[in-house]
Amino acid sequence: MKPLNVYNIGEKGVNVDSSPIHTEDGELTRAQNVEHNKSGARGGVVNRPGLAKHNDDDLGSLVLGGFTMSYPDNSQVETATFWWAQQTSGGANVWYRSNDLYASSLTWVLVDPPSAWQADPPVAFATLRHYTRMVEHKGRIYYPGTHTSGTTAPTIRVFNGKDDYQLAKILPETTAWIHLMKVSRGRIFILTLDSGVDDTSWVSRVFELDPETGYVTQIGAALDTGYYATALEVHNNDLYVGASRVTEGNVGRVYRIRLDIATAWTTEVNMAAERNNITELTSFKGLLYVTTGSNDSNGTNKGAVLRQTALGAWAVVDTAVVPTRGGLFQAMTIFEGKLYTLGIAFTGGNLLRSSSDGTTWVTDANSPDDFPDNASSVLKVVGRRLFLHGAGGTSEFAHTTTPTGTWTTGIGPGETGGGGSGTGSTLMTLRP
Amino acid sequence: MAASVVQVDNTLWLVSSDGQTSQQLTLPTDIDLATDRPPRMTNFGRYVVITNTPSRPITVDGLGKVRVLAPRPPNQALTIDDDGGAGTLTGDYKARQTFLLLDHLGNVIAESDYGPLMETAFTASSDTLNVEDVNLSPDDVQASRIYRTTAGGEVYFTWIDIDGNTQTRSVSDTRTDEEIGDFAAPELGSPPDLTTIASWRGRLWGVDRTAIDHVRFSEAGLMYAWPLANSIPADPVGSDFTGITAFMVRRDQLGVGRLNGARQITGTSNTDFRCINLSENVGALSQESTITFRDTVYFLWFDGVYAWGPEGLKCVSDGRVRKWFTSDDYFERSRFPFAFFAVDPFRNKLRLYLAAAGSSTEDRWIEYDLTDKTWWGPHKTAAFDPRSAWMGYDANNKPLPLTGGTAGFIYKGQTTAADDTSALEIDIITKFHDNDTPDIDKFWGQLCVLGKVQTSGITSVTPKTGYLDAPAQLPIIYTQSRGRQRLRRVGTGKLLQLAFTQASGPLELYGYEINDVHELGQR
Repeated sequence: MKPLNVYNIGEKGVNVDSSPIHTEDGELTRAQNVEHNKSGARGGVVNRPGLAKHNDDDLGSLVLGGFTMSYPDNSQVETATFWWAQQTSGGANVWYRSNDLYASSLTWVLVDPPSAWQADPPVAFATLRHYTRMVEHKGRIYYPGTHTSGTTAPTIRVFNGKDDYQLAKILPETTAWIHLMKVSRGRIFILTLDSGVDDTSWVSRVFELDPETGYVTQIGAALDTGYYATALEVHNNDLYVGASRVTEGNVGRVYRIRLDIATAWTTEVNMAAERNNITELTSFKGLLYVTTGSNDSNGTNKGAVLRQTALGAWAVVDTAVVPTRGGLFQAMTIFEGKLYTLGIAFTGGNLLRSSSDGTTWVTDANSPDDFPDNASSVLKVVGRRLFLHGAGGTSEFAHTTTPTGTWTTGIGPGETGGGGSGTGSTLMTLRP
Repeated sequence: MAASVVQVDNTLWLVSSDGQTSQQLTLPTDIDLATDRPPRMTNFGRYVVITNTPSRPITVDGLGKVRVLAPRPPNQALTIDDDGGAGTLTGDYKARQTFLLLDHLGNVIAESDYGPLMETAFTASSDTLNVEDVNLSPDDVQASRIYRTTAGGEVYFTWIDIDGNTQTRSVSDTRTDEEIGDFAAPELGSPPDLTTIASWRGRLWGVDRTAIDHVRFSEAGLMYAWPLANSIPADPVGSDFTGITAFMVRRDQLGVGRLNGARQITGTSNTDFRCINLSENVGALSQESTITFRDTVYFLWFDGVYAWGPEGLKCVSDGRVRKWFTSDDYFERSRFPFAFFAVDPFRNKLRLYLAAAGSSTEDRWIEYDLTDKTWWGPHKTAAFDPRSAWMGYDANNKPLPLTGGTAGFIYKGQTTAADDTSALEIDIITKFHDNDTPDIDKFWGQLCVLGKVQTSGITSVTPKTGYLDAPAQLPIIYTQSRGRQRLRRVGTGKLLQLAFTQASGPLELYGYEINDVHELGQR
């Protein structure tokens, strides 16, 4: 009688359909928690793989169903890699990089690329307030390259995290300086300052940059003399540009043009007397807001936040409370559904104020209690965090996910001598 | 890394690909999630679209922002005025409004259907125009879009975008008919309350909860535009109370399952889409018990598992495990509509979760090996009650089958022979061996079991010798650390069956022998 040798156990899996007499040797009638052992030539069974918990946090109840996104999850991504455009004391302006901005031990490393950025403004413009002259857009940093003011045209360079290259030029060659860049409604805008004989002949021009082609298109004619453009926002299909005074006696002004259609600027509003600086324009919940400063010693009309109530009509919604001079609302941005402003030299320090509706305002944080004085120049949102940073030679930064809570602070690369009343040194990131 | 959107009871979560971070998502206002049916989701562009459980279809983006698939349309007609300003526009004009969902860059994510038509056109005479009575949306919209006709025309063109959701009138506009744009207003339409959803050929396909026999589809490339005319009946209309049960998505075919039949969508555009017959003998019981893998759709019907692929439609369970589906001995057949599929692409196996006979939850699963076409199981686990399954991706973007449980946890495969902290309960039953003489009594000698040498663990081997009704003998202990072990003589009888059971760790059986089998004669 032949022996019973079964070495193809499970080779044919489970069979409950055939009668017991007709089932084959390699078949089983039950195979609970086992599977075919594929390492054997014919058969053998091995336990099935076990199951382990995937999520660390208990979701608390019945998991009814799920689906995986076919694209990266950006909700949890927080890049810690930042670049700091730092003005130096003489020589070209450079870049530093930190790969661990959110870590306890922050380190800045001098890097190139990105290559050197726009040098100091022409001497004639040295006393003007400086603004952010570079932007992040779809994972790239766009910044002004170096040029010789009045001789060679300003250039726009783009940095992709690895390399940088020249993308565009702002003609004519006599264009003096790129004064501000901003992204609004997904479009990149550039404000320039053209040199002239003196402040009565300087003019600002407004351009749009196509990041795909590098084409630079001027929007409307040059703005009026006696002003330089310092803020910008697209709102209700119009492009609004805020201009601060250059000529003594002028007040801050807002211009308006129907984007892509019109060719001539309309003066939207002139600020009240002594409100000389326009620092930011922001469209928030369907309405347009402007922040102003007042640097006249009288301080009768202090720096304020105004809201457009109709074309040409604006109303004050928040006012600087200052011990002396006029006070300055330095910056404005939207974070987590609220409108935030950063005010300088107010009673109580430099103040971060917020509003949910643009009407009622509260102070969320101040310097030096919550963030450093040297971090009080620029407001920006990076991922799920609100950032403040300075723009001087010894700038610091602070960030938080909860402005009324704890702020994390840090120090920028810091070059001595590169100071002034804001040099435009800027914290940048290639966020997703 | 790709996160999973997960519905947990009546909440929505984003679970990172490594499972370390879970974030509860905020639902839009007035959106609730039902808990008595499964969510049905698909990808479209950079959004996950969720239907069947939300009170209206919703989307989730990569930042975890949840929005409605399309805002509700304006409910009042607009008014046009001349704003008192002189201009250049002369003629009769009408306007309509939609609501827009925008991303942070100002791109349109979704657009509502149009508001009502103006009854009477506005007659302009060298005027500027503005819009009054602009509707405000109850949804969280970022803008309104106003379309207007040309002077005396009937075709609408994009005119003005109004930011926010607070303004009830627009600014004055002087643009001529030539300046307002060359493209007519798009086809729009509100998405219905969808019970199931699929993404195929650049459109979304769904079933209206109230029009259960019709396939609805969106405009090409637009997840939010569902014109009423985009509808195809899946015959026979009115034949049952269930209607369309599942979409069966393949590369170039879209199957439409009903309880007792299957159809297929043919055509390439709105003008030639139609539904033709695929089968009048088998259908799909639910969307969850339908799955596509490598351009073949596997689906559960009343009598087994079917495959619809390049080779046509065939049953893959007949001849092996048909009895699992056609008898009441193994599974609770009344719960087949609640069964759900999963696929493990690395092990090349399909997994079908079913309820054990008499059970009210899907507490068992069976596996179909796509390589050698064999069936395995029924498997079970003591660690959790399975409730749902989907394909995830690990931190290296490799597919990772995930199973949702009833107690807040999601499970994935591991090499350890345990489910969380519970040992695997292994139960193997062989055939009734007869050594080719089923009617002859035999003496079955010493049993020898061969397996992998494990560090520890024992397996109980329970023989039955006799005929098909032979009782189980006392179990014999096979010590796994021995690897190969000669055990006792098994006994006498016409047939021999062995059962291997253990719940103490890994098991790898190579085979077994009985080296002296003597025939005793026909008795």
